[in-house]
Amino acid sequence: MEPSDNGVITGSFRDPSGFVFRENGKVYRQINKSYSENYEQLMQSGLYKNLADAGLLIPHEEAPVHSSEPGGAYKTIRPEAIPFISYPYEWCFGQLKDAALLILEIEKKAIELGMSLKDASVYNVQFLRSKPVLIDTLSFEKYRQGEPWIAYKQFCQHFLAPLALASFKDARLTQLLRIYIDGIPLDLANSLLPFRSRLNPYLFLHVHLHAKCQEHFENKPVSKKNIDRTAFLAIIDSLRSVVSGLKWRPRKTAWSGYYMDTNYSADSFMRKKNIVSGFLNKVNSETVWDLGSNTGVFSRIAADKGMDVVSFDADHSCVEKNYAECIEKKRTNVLPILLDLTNPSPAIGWDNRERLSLSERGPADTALALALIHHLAIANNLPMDKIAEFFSKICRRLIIEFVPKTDSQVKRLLISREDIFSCYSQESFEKEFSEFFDICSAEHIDGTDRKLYYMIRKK
Amino acid sequence: MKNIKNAAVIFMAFHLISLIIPGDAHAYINPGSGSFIVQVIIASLLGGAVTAKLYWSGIKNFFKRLFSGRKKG
Repeated sequence: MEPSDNGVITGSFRDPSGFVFRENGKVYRQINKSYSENYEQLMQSGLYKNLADAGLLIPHEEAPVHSSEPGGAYKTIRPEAIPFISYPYEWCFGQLKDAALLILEIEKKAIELGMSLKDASVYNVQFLRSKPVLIDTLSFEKYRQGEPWIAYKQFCQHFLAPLALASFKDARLTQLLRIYIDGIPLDLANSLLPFRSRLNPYLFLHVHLHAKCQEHFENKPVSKKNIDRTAFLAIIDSLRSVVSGLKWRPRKTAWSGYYMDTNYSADSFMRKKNIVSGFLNKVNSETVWDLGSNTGVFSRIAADKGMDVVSFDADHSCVEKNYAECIEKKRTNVLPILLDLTNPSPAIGWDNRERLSLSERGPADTALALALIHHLAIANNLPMDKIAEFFSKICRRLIIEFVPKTDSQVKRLLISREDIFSCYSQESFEKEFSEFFDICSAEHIDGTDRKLYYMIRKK
Repeated sequence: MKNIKNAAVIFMAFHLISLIIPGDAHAYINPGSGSFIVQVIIASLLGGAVTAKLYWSGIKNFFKRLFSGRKKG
């Protein structure tokens, strides 16, 4: 559950137009009187209907509910709930690119109907049914002919800079979004991008020249020069062109080819799938967190049963492949997320309360921890009791695979290091997890030395 | 020549002065002066490109006439 002050969600305080609050478990957005004119224009101009029908803007209903600060309130709306809040440093390249293209498409449609986005924060985008959607209904203002785009700098720092860095340098650089809460500073992007990025004319203009202009004109007040509507739309179109052109191919990493190179024969892999499927049938939960999901093979088993799945993996290539599969197969209930379980997203922002940590967004009904335990205990030296405690915090039910030392994957982990893991055994696994969970079922996977467990957290 | 040079200096100075005059900033985010300036630059570059695209056939014909005129001349 996210932190809040009197129900007002703490990430929602910067915009004087309104704020998000929680009441009786539901999320609402208060629209302040200062925003009433823009809100009515959004609704009357047809822009809201256009964007909501196209699945670009979160749909909402007006609601007769009051926040704890109703003083300046005009109206309250209830937007459709987002099942899992995620952040740009948890997205793969493809997700960030689609989010950027969403903002530009919305801005173009808005201009056509006399409005414009007053901010282009990447945190205004969330994934709903596996597609990016704008959640800040109060982002729109009346378009004033002749003025430049006020959100342009934010768009370049929140979207273009990380995408360019991922495309031209290294996808892992999108993690800089975790450090820079208002997007990657353009002078930093400028210094990190290789020379060949300057050969892309639009990238040169929107990142490199932009960085230079920022440096040169910093804190100097300027009168807003006239940029007519055609030129404005040409700028938006050039941004769309440069973003569309940025590409990142998932590389063949140790993880992206994992299923080709494992301990399973085809038969034993099928048996594992059947056991997991059987456990999921018992569980009958709404939300599943698949931890260390790789390219999402088991996430899709849960999704096919109608569950909402968040599919976590630390490898960028795996998450990218998982996302590509979701788009290709039009999956609406799998959300691939980039996450290092040994260093999960912390709470960041003002007072460390604007963006939630992983645990604050849980617990999940059910978690899958398949082919994972040995990476935590052996590769990462984590004590079994601490692993068990962690899992008890993030889920109510757990489907977990124990991978013993006789397994070839574990042998591989121990090849170049001393085996200091005398406590790593099935007995100690069952003992430590029994402190936090009741083990309901355990099944051995024929053809392997591995065992699958279904457990429920103790009250 | 000197007059043209003077005119150019005055023209540039006018633009520089106009850049110093503060505008109103009512947005709740800080868009930054540099971000405004670069949009003006990009708009003028793209504007030129857009205009060229719109009037491309006219531009082509102009140059055709120019060169065919010279040949005849």
